[in-house]
Amino acid sequence: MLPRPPSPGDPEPRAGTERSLAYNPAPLPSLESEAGGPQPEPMSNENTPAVRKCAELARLEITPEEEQRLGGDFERILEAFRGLTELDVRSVEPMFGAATRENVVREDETRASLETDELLAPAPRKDDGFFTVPKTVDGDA
Amino acid sequence: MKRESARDAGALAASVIAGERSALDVARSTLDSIEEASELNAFLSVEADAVLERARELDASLAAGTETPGALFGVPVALKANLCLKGRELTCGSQLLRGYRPPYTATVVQRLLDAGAIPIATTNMDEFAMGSSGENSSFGPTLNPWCTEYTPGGSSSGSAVAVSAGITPLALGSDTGGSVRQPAALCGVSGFKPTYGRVSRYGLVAFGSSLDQVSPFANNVRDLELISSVISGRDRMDSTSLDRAPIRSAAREDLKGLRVGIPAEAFGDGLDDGVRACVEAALEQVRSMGAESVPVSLPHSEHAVATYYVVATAEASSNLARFDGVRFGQREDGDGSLAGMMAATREAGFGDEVKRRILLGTHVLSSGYYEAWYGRAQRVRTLIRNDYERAFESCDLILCPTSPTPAFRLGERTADPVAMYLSDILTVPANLAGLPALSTPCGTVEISDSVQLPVGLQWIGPALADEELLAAARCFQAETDFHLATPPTRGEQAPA
Repeated sequence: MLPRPPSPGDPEPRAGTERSLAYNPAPLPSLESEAGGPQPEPMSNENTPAVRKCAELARLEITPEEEQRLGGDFERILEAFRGLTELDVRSVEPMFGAATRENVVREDETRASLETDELLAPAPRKDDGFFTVPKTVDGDA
Repeated sequence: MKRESARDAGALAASVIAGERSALDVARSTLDSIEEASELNAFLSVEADAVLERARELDASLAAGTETPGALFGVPVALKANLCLKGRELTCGSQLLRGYRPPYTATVVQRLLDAGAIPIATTNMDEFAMGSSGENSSFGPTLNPWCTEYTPGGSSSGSAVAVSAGITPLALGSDTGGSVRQPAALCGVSGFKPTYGRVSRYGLVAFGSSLDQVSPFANNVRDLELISSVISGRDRMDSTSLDRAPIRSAAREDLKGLRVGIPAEAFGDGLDDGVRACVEAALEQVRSMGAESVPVSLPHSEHAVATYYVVATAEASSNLARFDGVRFGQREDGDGSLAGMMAATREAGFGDEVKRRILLGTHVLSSGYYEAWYGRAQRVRTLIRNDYERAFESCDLILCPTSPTPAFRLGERTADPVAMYLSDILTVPANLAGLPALSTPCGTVEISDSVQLPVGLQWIGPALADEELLAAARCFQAETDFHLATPPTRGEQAPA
């Protein structure tokens, strides 16, 4: 069945309503646990630390205000997706791509490529044939 | 440009090749149309000098008579701002890529050039193709030409509007979860997502690589067949490109004997009454043309949106790692460290929806959650594909609505990402299963005395049945005139 599309008269989703149930990922059934493997690490019930941790992993420097707002979205989205975790898929093969069911290989042959100058042209900073980035090694070199 | 030729690519190419109009004249009048329709915000980078130079080259080559003119000779094509054309600005609707000029050309764009087309400009889009309304562009929302208080759908918002408003007869978008079919439906034009792998992705800025497919918009299915024949076919630069001949127009004169599957799951409670009425009338029309309708079941449809958003965000979080301030686009220095520079660049350059999806994708791939979300979604993806394979044992194609609602108002769904994601419920399965699917207009719903909004009929075929699917839709258009409806001219339009 299709979920009913939103209409302008719908109440705004906010904390405490049925649309934003607390996100508590620890009891999720995982395939590994069904197979007797390790249980997922419990994550804090607070969603903002989860958002902060993902932001660090993804190199996103989010503001405290974004952390709150995106954390609330996280809750609602994962709650809406929860039906996915209730299906028994132990005997189902994963699908990695749509085009072929085998890996694709090609001949290891030399091909013409772009010139260094062309590749460097769109870079924000470059010097003498290289992309330049901030120093990555501590101390005086 | 005269309205008729602006809406028919085949006729326009014929008139330029016959010398009735010059490519330069076509290019100039298209640039004028872009300017006149600027309030729709459908275009991003319009580089008139390069366009006019291209048109002059085409005219010179025709005059020289040294080469056979291609199938799209002199035809202006609008390109979604995630398709590379060497040296032309490409932003993907993002501040992060402001000023980026790619050093190479996408295979599909090269094939358009080889066929004589004029890449006229880049079109507005949801940032990095993430959105279903066009409102996530950092360059402002695109407006629906049927009524400017409504969104045109997304993410290929500007490409849909370019064709709907009669500015270009053809446009390219990309369809990862419906980003061509849904805006085609909401803007009253035809849009076609080929079988995954029939069109090269080389030079398409990647979002969800196992789902992305470059897809065209046109005013009729014949033009979709025309442009598909140009852009499709094997490309060694894309390892997922299939070793198949380009898409050709298949012979079919009528729908007699065609078995059309009707999935009950797509006609459930959430379907707008007006959309339901239009689609059911279209199904009746298809039956009256000799097709036989067959009930089919797609039992895992209810999991399609969740499966799609887990898979697509996981892939996006990997694909968008390359936007780190090192190789292209803008850079922010941050605290001066390498990690700080990357984080500051991404914070300043990405909009909310892109951050939301990168975070979600990072989460579903992270240690402890990978199997519970991403691993599981990949398995449910198999179940969804199996549903379709089973359905196609008893039918030749499936018909259903493209979008559960007509166009929605600007701002209506921006506060609630879940509501926005549900806009895609009827389009994501074809991407998950890799199937060919197209949307064609099938009427309008009356919103008020002065506002009519278009409805799209979705045609989904078995993998690699692109030609048969297009041929059936072409037969439908030969007997109906839904695809000839055009938006009211902007002067006549009253607010809803």
